[in-house]
Amino acid sequence: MHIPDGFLSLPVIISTTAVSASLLYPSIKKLDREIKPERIPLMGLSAAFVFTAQLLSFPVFGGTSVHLTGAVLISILLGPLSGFLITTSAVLLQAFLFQHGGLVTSGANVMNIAVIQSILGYYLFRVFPKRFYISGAFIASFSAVVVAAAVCAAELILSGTIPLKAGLIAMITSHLFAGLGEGFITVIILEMIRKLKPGLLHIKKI
Amino acid sequence: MNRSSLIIILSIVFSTAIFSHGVDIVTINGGTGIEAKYDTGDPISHAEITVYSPGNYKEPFQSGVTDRNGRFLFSPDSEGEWKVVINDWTGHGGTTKIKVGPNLKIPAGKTEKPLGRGMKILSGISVILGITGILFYLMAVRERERGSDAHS
Repeated sequence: MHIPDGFLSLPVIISTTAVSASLLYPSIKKLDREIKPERIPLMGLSAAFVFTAQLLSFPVFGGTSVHLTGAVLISILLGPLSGFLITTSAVLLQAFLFQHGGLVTSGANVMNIAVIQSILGYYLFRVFPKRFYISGAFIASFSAVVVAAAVCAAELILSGTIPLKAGLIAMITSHLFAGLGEGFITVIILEMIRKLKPGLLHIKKI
Repeated sequence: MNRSSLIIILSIVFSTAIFSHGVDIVTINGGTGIEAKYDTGDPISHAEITVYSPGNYKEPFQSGVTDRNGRFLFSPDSEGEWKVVINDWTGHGGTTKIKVGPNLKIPAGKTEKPLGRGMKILSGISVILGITGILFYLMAVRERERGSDAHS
């Protein structure tokens, strides 16, 4: 879902970059006010995790390949703002270091991966009561990926890069598999943390 | 004019119309193209390909799909920089330029080795941990200054 340069039209680039940029500045300010220095190493490790997770892709039915994002997992652990900033830095770093995702299209990629998955995915998870922690995490991760894929498809369709019907089908079906994978990995890691270091699940969510 | 003459004349007239749709197919060699893979190593098969000729990056010279091995070949008919765009309809793809020389000389294959995945992961993690370390240090300095301001 890392859209390369040249695949989006100018109006789509401008609107998605505006959305991402307008959320970035207030988030940084708020995080700066509320975060204690002790949190920084944990955030750095989470950023490394998200970065690595997004470089691992697996082939799916139809011959394409998709990859995990880890965005919702990090938001569940650290909070939506932290998740948003961590995922944004991972996405931007991938674009600048390895052209995994274009430079001009970074705004759209940040919107699809960081804004939709970290922020929306978190609040979707919060809809579920505490006793549905695991199933809520699964459903939130899965849905976040599929919604992000739909938005990504809309951006590509509006730019004329993919056809409406066939492109939408290709995007959504391939990301249904990615969503399932994301849901399983999120749940597995949360369960591991619960068994090995349950205190981590209770840190303040910022 | 009797009926048989009419039939003969009409047959001659219409047979020339049939001749104008004759087809000649010959095999050709040469051409250039691309092979595309995901960074897992899997080929980008059956993905949309568009080829643009030098000086006209608006109207496609050719479009098609990559084969099962992620390959697509075409025959450039002019020298200059040709543009090939691959799009797998799931938000992945890319653009590459092929320089065709005078006399339509095809360039040699690209031999530059891309960064392996392990190296990518290592360099990314290093950058992240480096930036994190700097941030941690700066925040700690700020906390300490705040602490000493409160005392004084």
